[in-house]
Amino acid sequence: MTGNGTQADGPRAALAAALTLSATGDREAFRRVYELTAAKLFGICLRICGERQAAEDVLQEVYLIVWRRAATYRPERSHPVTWLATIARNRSLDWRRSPRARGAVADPVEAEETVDDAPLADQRIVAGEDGRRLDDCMDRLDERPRHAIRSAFLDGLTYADVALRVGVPLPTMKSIIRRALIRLRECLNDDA
Amino acid sequence: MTPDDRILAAELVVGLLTAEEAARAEQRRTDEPAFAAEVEWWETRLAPLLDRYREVTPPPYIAARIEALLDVPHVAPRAARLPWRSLSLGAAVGALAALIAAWLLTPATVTTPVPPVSAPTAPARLLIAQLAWTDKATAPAPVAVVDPASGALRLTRGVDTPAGRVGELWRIPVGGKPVSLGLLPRDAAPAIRVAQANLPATGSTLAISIERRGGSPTGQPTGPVVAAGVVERL
Repeated sequence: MTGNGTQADGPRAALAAALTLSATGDREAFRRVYELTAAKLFGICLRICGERQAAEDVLQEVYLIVWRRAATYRPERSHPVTWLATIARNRSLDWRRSPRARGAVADPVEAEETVDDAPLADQRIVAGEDGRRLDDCMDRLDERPRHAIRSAFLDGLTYADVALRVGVPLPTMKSIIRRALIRLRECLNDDA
Repeated sequence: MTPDDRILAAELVVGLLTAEEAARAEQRRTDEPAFAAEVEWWETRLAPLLDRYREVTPPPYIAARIEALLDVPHVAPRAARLPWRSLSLGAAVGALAALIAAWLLTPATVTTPVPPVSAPTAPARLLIAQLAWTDKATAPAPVAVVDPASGALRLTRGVDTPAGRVGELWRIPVGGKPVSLGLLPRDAAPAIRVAQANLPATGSTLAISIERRGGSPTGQPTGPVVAAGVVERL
């Protein structure tokens, strides 16, 4: 992660410090981590789970995981929000893929309207150089796979979900997305 | 790292995989450093997408609930990514069987099991489940031993619960819903009695969830599952 010298360094450092202190069992620090990030993580849980009750349960679980795994966070390797958000996203994906969720997940079509939401300026935490690079590379993809990859990531859709939403046979959807992922990797890897 | 591996890492991070595929990929992430590095590469590159999630303030009681659960040692089921069947002990050893049988049949008040010279009643019919904590833990997980003849079930150790909470033991038939076996007494080696009709079958799963006092009100686990393991014949 880059981000040296940006305005976000203050909050980033404060959050990284709180997270590191949490690892020592400091509840006050852990409370600070929660206050600084709960709205972000709840937004993730809610969007992927598509259901309030589930999102609340997952959020609770996420912070208990954070409490226990805070010691594994490496400030030099990732932005604390990225680290936390990844846990929230993965736990939400687990819930969405679990038998409990079947039939309870949000209608994908309903969620589609929000797919291309641009990040709000004041909620832009992670981006910067990396965000511009990703935007550039995504823009070079065809519209269909670009849309599919973005909504799969944000809404927690599987290949089958995406294929259903777009109305394309699953094997076709898979090969379209896989080709796009290869191109995306080449583009992102291009250290120009 | 084959091109297919690179795609798989991307698929895992984007979230395109089914639960089973994701569990397999997560396993490779644990086992193969090169694959793990590729997954991390994708996580970093795609991280800016996380900015697109809108913030939503969670209800205030969530913070209180989390706070209350911080003292529970090993909360949080990893159900979807945790292949429960892989938690099983595998074949148990015969000599151990006799020891465990003796321990199981020892009254709860006797703390030191007496190794028998000859095995007590029908040890071969005993069922055993090596439970595993559902998240990282420092303490060893309990082993459950069941004597189908008497319905006696004992755990080699108890489960820590916060005040006002209790451990509830469940059997989960293969492909079925959890069925309660009862509440675990707060004890270093909790013992309960299971009705014949309620005995767990070989291959089914035993699991412990943390419930409010009096047990789950719904007949299904409502609290976090803290330990689970597959029932084997000893």
